[in-house]
Amino acid sequence: MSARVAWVASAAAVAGTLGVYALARPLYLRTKSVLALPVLVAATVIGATLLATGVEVATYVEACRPLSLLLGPATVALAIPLHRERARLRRHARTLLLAIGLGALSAMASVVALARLLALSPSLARSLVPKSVTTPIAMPIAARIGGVPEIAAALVVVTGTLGMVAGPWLLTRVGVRTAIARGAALGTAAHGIGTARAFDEGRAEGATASVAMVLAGVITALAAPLFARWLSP
Amino acid sequence: MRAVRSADASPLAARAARAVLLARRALGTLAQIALLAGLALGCDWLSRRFALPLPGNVIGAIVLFALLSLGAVRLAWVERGSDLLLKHLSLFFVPAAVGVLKHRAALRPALLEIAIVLVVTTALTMLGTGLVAERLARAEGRGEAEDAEEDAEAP
Repeated sequence: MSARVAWVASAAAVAGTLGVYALARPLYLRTKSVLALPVLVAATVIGATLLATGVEVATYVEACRPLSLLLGPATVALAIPLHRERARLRRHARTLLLAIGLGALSAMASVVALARLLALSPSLARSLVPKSVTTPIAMPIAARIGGVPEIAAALVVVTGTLGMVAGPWLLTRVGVRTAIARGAALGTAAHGIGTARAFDEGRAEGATASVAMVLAGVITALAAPLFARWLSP
Repeated sequence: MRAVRSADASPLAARAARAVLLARRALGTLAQIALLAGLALGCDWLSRRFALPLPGNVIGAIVLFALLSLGAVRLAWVERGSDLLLKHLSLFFVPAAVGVLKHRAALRPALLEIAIVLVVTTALTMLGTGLVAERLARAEGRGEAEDAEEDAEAP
């Protein structure tokens, strides 16, 4: 591909992705329905378009590099919600650290146990290990422990969607009512998508969820290599 | 203030002043994103160079949190850029999520297993975290008032 063709392809892919996202977002904000989750709508519409037109998926992903590059600074930006909520974090330090730490570790432990039980392929199992944390953290973890970052990214989105749909209902059923407990659970199990849902419940729930999403990401990044040792290479 | 006064003088001047203000804001936000990107790149290099146990972007977040806590970086220097990136975080990983289609042949035979793992482990994590936090929060029994107060003040 000549430089100019690559540039045009890049502009077209980024513009298309932005366009679909920009159409889905107001729909989601109005309906708050899972079916309108911008990332789900955008990935489905773009995926279907690529398959229908026969454009190579790899070509599209490569052309979208300018967009994907922003994942780096976006991850660094996760420090801001943590900094804003530092008073809440300090007040509930023991509760939050214990619950989020245990949650993040049990997420990985349960993936490893089930992956072994179901005899999943090593690369799939290793892509599943970080699936509870936010995508920009899950992708480099997957790469480091022998998984496939793109598979991890898709698993993260599905996990977040499941958590958003069933999480609040599940928590209510077992009697989890405190704002910080609901927030911690949604942020730890369903990262950014769960955090968005937690903000719908209230500010305390959402703020706690954003703390949980960041802490669970850091804990998972630190501990994932240990859990990956329990999987066949 | 100046913008208001010029609005009385001429709508055109007011519009120009507003445009300049908007452009300045946009440039400021871009500069903040560039600062975050620089931090991400620098920490990425460090992580590779010294084979650190954390991905570069996660180290970047920890470093920024430390700098903010120490007061070496002011929240105002990075706030607008960060809010913009986090508001649209899901946009940036749409390409990666679409990229899973490259691996569809390998994944198709394992779809049922994948569904089982995702449903079971997400439910376990949700319940585990929620129940532990609920227990501890009730035992703690304080801090709720401060939370409510803080949340009432917030926009």
